[in-house]
Order: sequence, then C-alpha cells, then structure tokens
Amino acid sequence: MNAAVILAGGKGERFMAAIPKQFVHLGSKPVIQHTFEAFYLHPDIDVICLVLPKERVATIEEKYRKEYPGKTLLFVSGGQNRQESTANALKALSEKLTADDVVLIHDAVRPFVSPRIISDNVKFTQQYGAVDTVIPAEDTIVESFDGETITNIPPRKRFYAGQTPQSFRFGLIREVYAAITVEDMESVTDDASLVLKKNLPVYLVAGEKHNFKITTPWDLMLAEALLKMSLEEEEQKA
Amino acid sequence: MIKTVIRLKYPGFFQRYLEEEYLSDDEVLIQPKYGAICKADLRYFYGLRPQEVLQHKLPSALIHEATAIVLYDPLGKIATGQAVIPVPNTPCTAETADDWYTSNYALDTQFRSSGYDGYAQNLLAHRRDLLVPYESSFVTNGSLSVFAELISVAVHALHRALHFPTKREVVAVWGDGLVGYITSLVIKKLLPESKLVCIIKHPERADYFYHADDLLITGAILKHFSCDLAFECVGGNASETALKEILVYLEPNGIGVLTGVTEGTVPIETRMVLDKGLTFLGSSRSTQLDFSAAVPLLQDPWFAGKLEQVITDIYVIRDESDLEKAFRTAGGTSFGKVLLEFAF
Repeated sequence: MNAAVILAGGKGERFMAAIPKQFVHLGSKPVIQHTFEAFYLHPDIDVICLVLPKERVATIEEKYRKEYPGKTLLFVSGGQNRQESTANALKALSEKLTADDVVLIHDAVRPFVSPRIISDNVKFTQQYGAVDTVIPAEDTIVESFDGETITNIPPRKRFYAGQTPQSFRFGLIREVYAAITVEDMESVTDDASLVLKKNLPVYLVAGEKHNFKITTPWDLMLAEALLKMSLEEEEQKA
Repeated sequence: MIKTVIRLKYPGFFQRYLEEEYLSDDEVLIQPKYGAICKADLRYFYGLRPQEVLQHKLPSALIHEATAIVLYDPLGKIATGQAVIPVPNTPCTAETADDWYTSNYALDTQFRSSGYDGYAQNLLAHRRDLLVPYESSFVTNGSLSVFAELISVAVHALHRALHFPTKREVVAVWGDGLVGYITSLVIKKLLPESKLVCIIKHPERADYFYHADDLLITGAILKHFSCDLAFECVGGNASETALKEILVYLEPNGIGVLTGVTEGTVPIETRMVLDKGLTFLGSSRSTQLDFSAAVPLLQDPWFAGKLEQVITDIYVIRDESDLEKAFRTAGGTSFGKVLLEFAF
C-alpha cells in the first residue's frame, strides 16, 4: 500500500496574502486541490493524508469526502512546524500502513508534480527505502559566510535543488520520527535530512523544473502564466 | 486537474504545456500508456504538410494510435484501472451503426493529432462512447494494443468493400508498408476462404508477407493473375503505378479500395474503369465499431506474433526531448513501427 502526505499546514508568511498560499486559486481551483488531484488520480496511491490548518480541517474534509470517493482519505491538523505536521500525519497513518508500505511526503504548494515523479518515488522507495526528488543545480552555487564576500564556489555538478515528494518506507520514517529530538525539530526543515542524520542512505529521484514550489507572488504569477500558455496561443491564432 | 500536454509547436520542435482539464458526465478521465508514431504524425514533424495547413493546425499534440487506462469515470460505468483503446476519430453525432459509418466521413468530424490534440498528454478527458475496453491480460504484450488503430483502419476498409456485392475469390493488396502489411493480415484472418495475393515493391520485405498465398513484385506481375477485390495501400506518388496495375488486373465488376494518401493528384485511365465496370471507393480512418472488431485480432496469438515482428523500437517518453528522439528514429525507419511508452 502506498500513501501520500500532503503538507498544507503552513501559514504562508512569505506569500504576504490574507490567506495561506496553498489556498489561493490557481486557474479554477485552490493550489492544494490541484496537488491533491495529482495524487488522487494516480493509480499507485491508495491513501492520502492531508495536513491542514486546524481551522480548515472540517470544511475541507466535508468537501473532499463528497467530491473524491474511492480512496482512503485522512484529514489531520498541522503542527507548529513542518516536522510536527509530518509527525501528526505519520501518527494518523499508523492505523492504515505496515512497515513495508511506502509514504510520499509532498508540499501542497507543488501542484505540477507529474505522474512520472509519483511513480518513480513509489518504485524507488520500494527498492531503496528512502528517496528525495531533486533537479540538477543550473546556477553556480556561491557560498558566503558573512553575506558580503564569497567564501567558496563549489563545483556545480555535485549540487541539486531539492523538491518533493520525499518518500520512505513507512517503518523507516516512523522510527526516525520516534527518535526525533527537540533540536532536530528546530534545526531540520525536511525529512530526508532527518534520515541522513541517522546515517541512512537517501537515493535521488529525478524531479522536474515544472515541479516548482509556489512560495511567492512571483511563483503564482509564473504558475498562472504556464496554465494560460496554450489559451493565449489559440487566441493569437484566431 | 492539471495535465501535461506535449505539443508539436513547429516542425521538429515539441513543447510542454500545462493545462487544467475539465470533465463532463459524457467523458472519462484516461491516462495514455502506449502510443505509436504513424506516417501522418511524421508529415507534421518534418513539415511535409502545406505551410498553410501547418500554420492552421500547430501547435498540436500528435499520436492517434494509443492505449490508455481509466483514471476516473464520474458515472462509475468504467472501472478505474480498466485498459481501454481510445478512438481518435471524433464524430459529432453517431448513435447507430449506420451513423458511425456515415459520420466517419462527415466534414465536421474531428480527428486526433490532426488539428485536434492527440494522445501525447499524461491525462485527458475522453468521450466515454469512444473508448473500447479490453482485457489487457489477453494481449501477450501490452504495447501491442497500440496496433488496434491500424487494424481498425484495415477492418473498416474491408467492411466498406464487403458492403458491395462482389466476388472475393482472389483478394489483392498493393503496398508493402505497414498499412499494406496489416491489411493483408486482416484479410488473411477475416476472409480465410479467399486467396490472398500481396503485391510488394521491396523484395527484401518478402519474408514479412509469408502469410500471403501468392507474393508478386510490382511491375512484374504474372500474365494469368487477376483479382476480384483490390486494396491500394501505397499512397504518395507511387499510387499511380499501383492504380495502373489495379486497373489492369481487377476482374470486370471488381472493386478497388483506396486507402493511401496522396498530397497531389494522380491520373487514372477512366476508359479501363468504364470498360470493366469497376467500382472504386475511398476508405479512411475507422469507427468505434471497427476498433471493437480489432480487439479479437489483437488477442489472436498468430496475429499478435505478426505484429511483434514489426516493432523496431520502444521509447520511454519522460519529456519532450524523448519524444523528439523517437520521432527522429521513426523518420529514419523504412519499415516497422516505433512505439512509445508514456511516462511523464
């Protein structure tokens, strides 16, 4: 059995809108609904756990249970940070999954995740136990300790930009979370890092540029433009 | 839901588009699994259609030979995960069998990958009545089902010919491309009592046509050869030679079925047509009924084996650059089929 956790508990401080970015409309639907549908429609996904701001759980649960029958859906309140939200999701999933099952953890604000990325996450997690979705770094990475001068320019070919999903065998990620420290909770911002801290390997899955995160108004503008591209070309032809 | 469509924007250049897909109650959400590149797709890719046609029809998602699985049926009539063959010919009105046959040639009928998006997309809303469910485990190789479209075209041509009262003791097929090959296989299976004669141009392809009762080389046809029913599966400029021979070798009152596409005009010696009282009919594309008739052929081990022989490459398509590579390979393939496994 394969489960997807969609993390949508964030407040969206960087987005500077009245509502968190995952609930802003992209085309005809909120961003989170597009992301949800990508997993809902994927044949490999059996269970979807949505982690939401506490005040939105009841309304979203009512809507989604009505509109999206056929798969097991769980609705969970988010925590104070990403790790706490993931922990809440893993706790809810423990009644549905066994240790060998696969769990994909995905940002709600990446609505363009492709079926191929989801398939590869499932396939390679079954094979390796832990995977992270990445794309090769295209820009040169510059390191600066003081924010004023360059400390180091490492070779670009060793660097990747992390995306999501990050995926794990359920037993592995559950054990990692069982041993998580307060320091980890505060210092680590993703689940692959937690697994690495336990000296366990995390394998790479090819991501895509389109699987970008809608974090700022500029990102939303880009996402809207991508969705409208073909309509605008049609209008130009007419 | 958001889908990815890979469209040919200009000849030789594919571009990825992200779009919202909307689903009506008459439609089912499907995910294309396998596809195949056909000559019509290649003519767009290499810019071999007239410039005004290219300007009018592009950008467009190519590929009209495909198989798919059902992702979601809002009415629950087709189960999620069901293997289906999508019918690319999209008539505006067709309820009865007669409607299907006439609507195939209606001017307002749309055809996928020709100005109307084909199956190079990772999900799409597809009319429910234009999906042919099939038992994928009955087909030895899942990718083989993409041949359903070509088979249906051959079945359609044969059914059209058989609408007319004619003898069918000797049935001849001109053309040694894939259309000729598959038409000859369909005739072999569906008209087992007839003598099947294949007329080919390239002697090196003779082994593929081993199933024919007689094999002739165009331009060197035997004195005593004649046929009751002739299928022209040549197309292009070579149609002229094929048609000349068909006029000579068709028996009086015989029927010639034209299936090859020419961009220009081809001369026909009408005296021969009149003298012999010949009937020529055009046959193009196919209907949902022809696809249904194609499925049992796909499940026939002999037939499936003959299809496997003509698969030259299978490309996994993860993005637009993979699709471009597959098209360039198909463009350099003289005989055979390049299949696509969609994975984007």
